[in-house]
Amino acid sequence: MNFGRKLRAGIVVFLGTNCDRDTKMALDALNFETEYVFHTSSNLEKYDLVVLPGGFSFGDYIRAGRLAKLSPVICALKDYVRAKRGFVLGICNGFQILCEAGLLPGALIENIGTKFISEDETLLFDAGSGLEEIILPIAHKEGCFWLDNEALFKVRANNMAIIKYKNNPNGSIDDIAGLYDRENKVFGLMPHPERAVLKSCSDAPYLKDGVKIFEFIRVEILSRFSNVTKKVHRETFYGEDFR
Amino acid sequence: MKYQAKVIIKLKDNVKDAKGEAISAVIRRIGFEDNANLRMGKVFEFTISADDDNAAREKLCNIIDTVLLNPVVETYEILEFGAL
Repeated sequence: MNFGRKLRAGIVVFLGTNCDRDTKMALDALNFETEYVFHTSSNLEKYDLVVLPGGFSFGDYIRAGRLAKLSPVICALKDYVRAKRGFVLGICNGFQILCEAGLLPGALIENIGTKFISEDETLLFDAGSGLEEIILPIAHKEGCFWLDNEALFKVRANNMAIIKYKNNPNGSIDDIAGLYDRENKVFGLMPHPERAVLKSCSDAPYLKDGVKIFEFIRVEILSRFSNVTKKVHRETFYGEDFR
Repeated sequence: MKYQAKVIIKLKDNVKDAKGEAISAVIRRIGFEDNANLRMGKVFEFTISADDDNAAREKLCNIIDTVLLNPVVETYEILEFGAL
């Protein structure tokens, strides 16, 4: 399907964000038009996709994502979501920020074993046509997802947990690795899909399941603009980096 | 008027405190206490300017609720609060 232009992605940069460059490289390779958006910005209007990348925004002071949620860009992000302008993706620290800001339920606390985990993790991903096993890198110390029973009931009832750990490494409730709010198109996950797109980002056999996450996002964005079905259109937007 | 506040923020009792458990394990290992059941919190000390006690308390609660506390997993206790 020819949308007529590239989808525009704004990659938010907080003080302490460090996965912005990897995220930009991945999205550029996947044919998005990308720009960095500093945390003091309050204009997200032109973006089809807003990404909160991984890192240690504001040093994780107080709690991971706590101070970042008070940035002007998050106020603008809430307007962006209310206006149903596009899609919001929070990766790792980005997911933490989305939870702190109340854009997704629950909170991320310290991993059950207190250790920082850096692994390629097998996940169960439901893009809408059944569960699929994918592998994405995780790298976090506060990745244990927690929420109370009332919120968990709503998460289950709305099928929000579209990505789960196959072998829960950090104690997350319900093995939740990420949540998707379909109504508001806000998706947060602890694993790093941007690190599983380009050949240059991993050892052989190189991880490329991140492409599936971004494909899913692309279809979700386009569904806002037209009656695009959920079937993924495999356009020739893969570069040689993936083959 | 100036007010001084001291607040402790800690995980709710039903939330696993992995740091606290790790520290308790060390306390046990070195023989000081077998069941310390330690839980960690964060203490914040800060000054508030307000015209009167009610305004100061309102500001205190706003600071706690907006900046310091995640109500999903944390609770708080005001340890000290008074005019300087």
